[in-house]
Amino acid sequence: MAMVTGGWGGPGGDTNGVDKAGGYPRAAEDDSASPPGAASDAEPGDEERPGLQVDCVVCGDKSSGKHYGVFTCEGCKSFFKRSIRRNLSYTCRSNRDCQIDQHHRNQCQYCRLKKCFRVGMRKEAVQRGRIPHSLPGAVAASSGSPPGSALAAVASGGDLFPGQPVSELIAQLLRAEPYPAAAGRFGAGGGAAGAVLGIDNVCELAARLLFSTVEWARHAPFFPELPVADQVALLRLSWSELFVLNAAQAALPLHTAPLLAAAGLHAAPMAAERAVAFMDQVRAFQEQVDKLGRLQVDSAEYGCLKAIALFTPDACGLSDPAHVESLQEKAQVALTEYVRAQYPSQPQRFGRLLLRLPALRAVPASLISQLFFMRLVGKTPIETLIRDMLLSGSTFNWPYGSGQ
Amino acid sequence: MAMVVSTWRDPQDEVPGSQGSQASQAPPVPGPPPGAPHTPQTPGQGGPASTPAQTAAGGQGGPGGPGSDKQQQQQHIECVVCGDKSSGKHYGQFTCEGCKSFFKRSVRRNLSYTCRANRNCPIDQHHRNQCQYCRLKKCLKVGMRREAVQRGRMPPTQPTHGQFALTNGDPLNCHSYLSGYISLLLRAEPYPTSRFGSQCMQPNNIMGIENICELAARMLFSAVEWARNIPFFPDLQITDQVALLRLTWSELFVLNAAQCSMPLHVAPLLAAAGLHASPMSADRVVAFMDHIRIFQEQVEKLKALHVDSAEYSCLKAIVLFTSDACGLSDVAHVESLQEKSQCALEEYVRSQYPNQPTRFGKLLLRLPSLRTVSSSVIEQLFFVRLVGKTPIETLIRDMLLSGSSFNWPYMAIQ
Repeated sequence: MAMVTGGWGGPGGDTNGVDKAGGYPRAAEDDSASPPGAASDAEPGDEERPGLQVDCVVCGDKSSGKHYGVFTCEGCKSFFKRSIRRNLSYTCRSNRDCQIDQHHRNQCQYCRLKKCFRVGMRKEAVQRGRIPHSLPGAVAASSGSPPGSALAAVASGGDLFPGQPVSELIAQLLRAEPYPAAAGRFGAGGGAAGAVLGIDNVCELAARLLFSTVEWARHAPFFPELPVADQVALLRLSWSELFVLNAAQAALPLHTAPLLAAAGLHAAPMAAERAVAFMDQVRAFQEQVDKLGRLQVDSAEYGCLKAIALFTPDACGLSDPAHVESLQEKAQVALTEYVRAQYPSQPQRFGRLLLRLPALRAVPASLISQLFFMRLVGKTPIETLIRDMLLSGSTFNWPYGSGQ
Repeated sequence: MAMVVSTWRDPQDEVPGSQGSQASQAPPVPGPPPGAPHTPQTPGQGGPASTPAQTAAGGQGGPGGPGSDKQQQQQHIECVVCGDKSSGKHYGQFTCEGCKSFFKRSVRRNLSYTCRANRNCPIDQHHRNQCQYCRLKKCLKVGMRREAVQRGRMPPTQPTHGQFALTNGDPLNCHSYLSGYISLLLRAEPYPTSRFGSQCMQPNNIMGIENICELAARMLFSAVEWARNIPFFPDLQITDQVALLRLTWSELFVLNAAQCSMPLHVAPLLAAAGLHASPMSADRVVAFMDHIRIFQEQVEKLKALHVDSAEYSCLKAIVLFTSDACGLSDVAHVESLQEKSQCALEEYVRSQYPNQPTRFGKLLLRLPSLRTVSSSVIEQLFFVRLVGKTPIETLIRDMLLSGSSFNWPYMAIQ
């Protein structure tokens, strides 16, 4: 129960107000990051808008607003909340004066909590559990989200988790979805066009899927706080796995994949052996989507699986692999607890879900690139597109055509 | 908990069919008597008692007559059933490990087979898996004794009780059964970990390139040999066995490298030696070194988790029984075997490491990373010097089919 989301722990007005403002620094950050990438990495604080860009007073990371009395990042906010709610006590293995900054804050919890108190975070501001029943609507409405979207999210939550509280991490992962499943945007598209889509429609759908993959990552908890170089590295490694997970989640009409493959082969003839290998890979891709479909993975499970795939410490050049690994662990813990609570009659379900991940690595990223994006972007590497999407956000434009 | 029982039964019901299919190379024949599915549960009843001893002993020994010590091939005797190299006397006759295991399984599970030919199929090293009926017939004809096969580690009166309890979904019996499965996985290890350890821990802790390559060859061989001896794998069709090992050999190799603490600091030296021998373009060198780093990282991460022998054996079974292999004749069956392996691992971890609730998830999350390690890099790093341009996949098929009589091209192992 300690994991249950408390919603907004700090004073509602302050937090929500700053949250709204907090949206702008991110956009500004993204705009300014494109020209001087190195500068962006070197200077976490963006000086262009001093009034809106605030540092976390505990670790110096980007603050998402006021929490428990002071400006903190999501990481320190969650750390403080967990420590208070669970009444945790820590031990310092050093001299109780460890350095607490963005990259070392996970190394000593004792000193981190001590610094939280020293900078003025208030223990009493932490709610001990779920907010009263009458408040959810009000809080959702004042969160700054469009009322319809908020209501849809609440209704969706109620439908997905009847009588069951959902962990805050999972709630955040679900909120990060650019197109909520309840909206049925992908489903509606597929349904409206009937069972058969033309090649151009499939490619456009795939482009939208890739864009939503990157957009989801940009809003996933903890991901925006990582250095941009790390964000790019993680997405470069995991984009194809996330794409497959999204394709399964959106029930993309993949029966046209063989048709696409045939079209591709005709356009660019290959040697017989390469053609056979290519068709094998297409089959592997379809199989992975089918297997996920047969497991009947729900939205929360997809959210956790995607977070696990995204936060892979194997990516090259990460500035703090241990931190990324701890984020992956958070996601798997959330998945464990969720599955155990929601599917008590399927004790093997957690293991089954995790065992889908090795198979995703078997689907080559180059195959997905060739199958769905070659027609759209020609020889532009997907990795370049992903970096551009990440840095430009909603202002991204597809080369040779508009993705939206 | 009924789900667990159901999961447990399905593979058993399929295994006889699978065996029939293997014998006939065509549609499966009717399965054995209905009671057969319960028999494999018997060994599991001894699980709690035998697992600690098994682990402590490092997986040594096993049922059989005198002279069954695998580590000492003092005499070269042929298997009286198929002519393969005998590892000693088993159930009254000199037999190889394959026929010994085949006979034990058939007797313990009271399996009956059907011959699709004229009941006179040739039983030799290369065809012994093609007709189980004639193989079993020959085992009996040459004098293997049914009564010499232990029925498990419990008195004969116990099976009935066990079956009854299991039918009612008794969780303790399910737990016992999975522990028995792990015991069988551990027993299948051809070399106890200590032997690898002594090999790796040279006094000066520095191994020459030749020693590294020999160690690597032994590790690859032991991975194949382990697969040949674990439950259910030998019952698959040969083509499925080859397909599974071809896909997973490099992952099993990495797990074995981590398990025996292979001294990987030599890898860059090996790479340098290899590069000097056959120059590459600069880009390829950089990519190659990246792959080596990934390989080393995966081994280091596994070691950091302090994975124990039982966990390694379950991870290897999970890796091996992957339904992603091309051309499998029974995908659902392989999937069920993987599921059995992951359930066994989960139960083991939760009972042995109750203070590490995330350990099971952590172990499983090592598996996607294993797929990142390039099998061609491992091949080039450790095997090109030994076998030249012979593809590893060919070697694996040869190892699988010839068993302990396999000889490395250019070099004899063991």
